[in-house]
Amino acid sequence: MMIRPLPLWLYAAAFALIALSVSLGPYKIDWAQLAFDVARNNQTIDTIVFFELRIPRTIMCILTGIALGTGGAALQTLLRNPLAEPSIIGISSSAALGAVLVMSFQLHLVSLFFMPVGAIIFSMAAATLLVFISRTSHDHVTILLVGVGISLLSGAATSFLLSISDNPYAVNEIVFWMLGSLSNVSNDDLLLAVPFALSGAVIMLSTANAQNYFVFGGEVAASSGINVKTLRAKVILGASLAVGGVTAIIGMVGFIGLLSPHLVRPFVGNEPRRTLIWSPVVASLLVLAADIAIRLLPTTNELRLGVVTTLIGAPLFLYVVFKRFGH
Amino acid sequence: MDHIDVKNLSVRINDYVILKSVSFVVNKGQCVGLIGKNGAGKTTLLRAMQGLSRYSGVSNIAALSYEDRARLVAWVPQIHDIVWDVKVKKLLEFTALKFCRNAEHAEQTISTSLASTNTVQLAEKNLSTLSSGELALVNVARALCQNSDFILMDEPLANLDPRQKSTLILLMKTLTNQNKGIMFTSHDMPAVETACDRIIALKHGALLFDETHRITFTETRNQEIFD
Repeated sequence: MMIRPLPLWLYAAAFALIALSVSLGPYKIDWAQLAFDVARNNQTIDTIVFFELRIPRTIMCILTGIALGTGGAALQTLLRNPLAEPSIIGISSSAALGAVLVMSFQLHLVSLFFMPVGAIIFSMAAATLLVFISRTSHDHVTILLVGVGISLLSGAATSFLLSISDNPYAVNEIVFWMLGSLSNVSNDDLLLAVPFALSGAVIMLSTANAQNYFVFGGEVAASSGINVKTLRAKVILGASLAVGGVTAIIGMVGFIGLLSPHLVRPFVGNEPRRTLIWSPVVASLLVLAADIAIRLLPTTNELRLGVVTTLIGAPLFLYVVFKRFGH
Repeated sequence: MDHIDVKNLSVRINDYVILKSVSFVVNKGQCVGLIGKNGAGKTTLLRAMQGLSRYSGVSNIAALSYEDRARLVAWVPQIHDIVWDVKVKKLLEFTALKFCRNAEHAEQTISTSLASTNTVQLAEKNLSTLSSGELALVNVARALCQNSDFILMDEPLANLDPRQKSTLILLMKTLTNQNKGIMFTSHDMPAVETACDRIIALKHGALLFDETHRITFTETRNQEIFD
């Protein structure tokens, strides 16, 4: 089989974006000083800013891309729907509901650990419900419909929690968190997110080869020797681990999971396996770029990541859709 | 396993009985036409006997693991939409590389499959650019890449032009001679008469007849099946 490598500019872009991401910010790092301090094992402002603000933020960008990129690509192929992504089948919004519940009971003030735990419990609950309802069916529209139902329900529950809250500060905090941001990511946050996000991504990537048999749908996949039920369970479990893990830390980030597989497809001849493999790479670059744009824009308050990805992602997505299906 | 054995296969959706206790055996080297009017349960039967939908009763192939069943039976459902627009050759490669011994064998299987469905000229085309008849033939070519002993097809002749139709009928005869078992649904009685050495008719979800001698469709016969 001929493997066409992705273009060189992708690697150049990755390098440039990572370099920009670690160097941009209100504090200007003196790189020579940093190298000196690291060699001497000194604790200075430079080392603290670099290792406790910039590095975790950059890694979190990449991790978010990996989680949303694999989630989007795997779900689109499985559901045979180019509009599928974690937020549409209710995984993101359930994760958000879990985290909002934790915040509205102020449990996050007891321990921050409750945030990802709450988010993952709820995204897993949504995913389990999905698997349970669609367990006996080869029909992928069912999952999509159930997912949309769950998504609407958890969105309504979140709004309900916000509207009955008598603490305006908590409401403000929750609304801002929900818009998605990477600005306060710490190494502790990373430690909470990494195990879930990476294990979820690995579970989804393990289905890559089987995904190719879904070109003609789940029935043909099943008759080509793919255990469709196991595969579906893997994708849903992986997506809820990965997306729940990152959503708990940075809030809801839309459009990345939807957009990145569409950007990858023209380069890989629409092959589902390679779309799944490359989508997290492209998604990571998108998140890095969006987060860099946030830091470069001269706004008084830093813009929220979820807002920026949607503002850039939605028109770009419309363009991709128009180019692919608009004739 | 050298036969498909279906015993008392029933399908019920909610309280509606779609298939009523159907039993038959299909051997290798047989070409079976499955006929009946719309809603008689033909497609349901093909899907249920492979375990692709809920059923009660016994089907020896539905009981197999996904992997084992795929080596024994290939399935050609009707394809209505293309979501992931891959190249024809790529589609066949996915299947061939899984079911062939090595890359060389896969390459060879792909060329034979394309040649026998008369779709060689489509190899480099994307699925979305094919006509419905071409897509139906490519779908058959994909199933051939599975190198299975049996091929089940749902309305394979439906969208074909006369020339494509004779290609597929010829292919079915060739495969039967190579000792493969074939079963397909169709409304095209002349084609069924030409291609098949056995005809199973369904009516209201039950077996109407199962005949292996040469069948001609007379007016009364047609009334019996389609009224």
